Amino acid sequence: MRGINICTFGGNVAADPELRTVAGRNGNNVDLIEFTMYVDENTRKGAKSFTVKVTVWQTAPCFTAAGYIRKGTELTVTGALSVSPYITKTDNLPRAGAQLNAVQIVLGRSPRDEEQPQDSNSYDEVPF
Amino acid sequence: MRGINTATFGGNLGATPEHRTVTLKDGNTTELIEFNMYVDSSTRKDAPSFIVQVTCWAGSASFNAAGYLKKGSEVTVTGPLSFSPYIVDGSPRSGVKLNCVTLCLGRSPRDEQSADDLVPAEQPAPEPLAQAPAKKTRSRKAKTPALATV
Repeated sequence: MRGINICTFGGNVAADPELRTVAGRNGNNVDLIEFTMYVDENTRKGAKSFTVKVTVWQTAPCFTAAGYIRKGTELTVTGALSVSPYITKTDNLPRAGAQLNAVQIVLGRSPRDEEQPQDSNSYDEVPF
Repeated sequence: MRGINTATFGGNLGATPEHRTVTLKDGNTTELIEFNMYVDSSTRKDAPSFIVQVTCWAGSASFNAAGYLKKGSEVTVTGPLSFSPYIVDGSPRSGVKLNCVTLCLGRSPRDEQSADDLVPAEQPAPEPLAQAPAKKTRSRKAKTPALATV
């Protein structure tokens, strides 16, 4: 029996997602969306966060929602976690290499939404 | 605002939990139980498993339950996740840590052993039970209403 492995992370997207096409096991091409998000650690030592690389497969029900993600978007992702640690080539520091196979995505605020004009209720011309 | 950070992992303990007493910043001491558990990466059978270091602090709901854990126990834990990667002998490790909030106990190796002990291989035929004397039961007399004499 496989043990349970469910993680729910909320945070901001670090960069624009990348849409890729890979070859599946049966020879068919499968699309996937990959992006990196910052997740806050629930510690008392100030603001400390880690990065998680999220993969959304075409077969996942949240694949359509992932198309609306861009850099800076707030979102909450649920899926299975895996790790592939590595050492950076630039400074030889260890990295956890956290990867999340997304199953569900809840979109939050997007930078584009905030760019909308907020002074629509202000009146420049007073009729009297 | 901090984002949500909750992980739920199920797996087996890699070793016997370690009970430690640590000193806090304010000088007070507190207890904690630490253990490592193996978690499967995904539902695929060929996916490797990784190690998660779980910490149960005294005062949390998981601390008492963690006292029953031993090597090989099945357990499901929930809590916020963090990473502290490090290098051992030149190979990197992820250093996955989980601050346990909820802990659900599963099967334990000792439970299975005790279950085998309770059921012997060959059981003698049970003796017929002696006929137990019939118990005296209290019978309440039905109260009949007194008939009115004409």
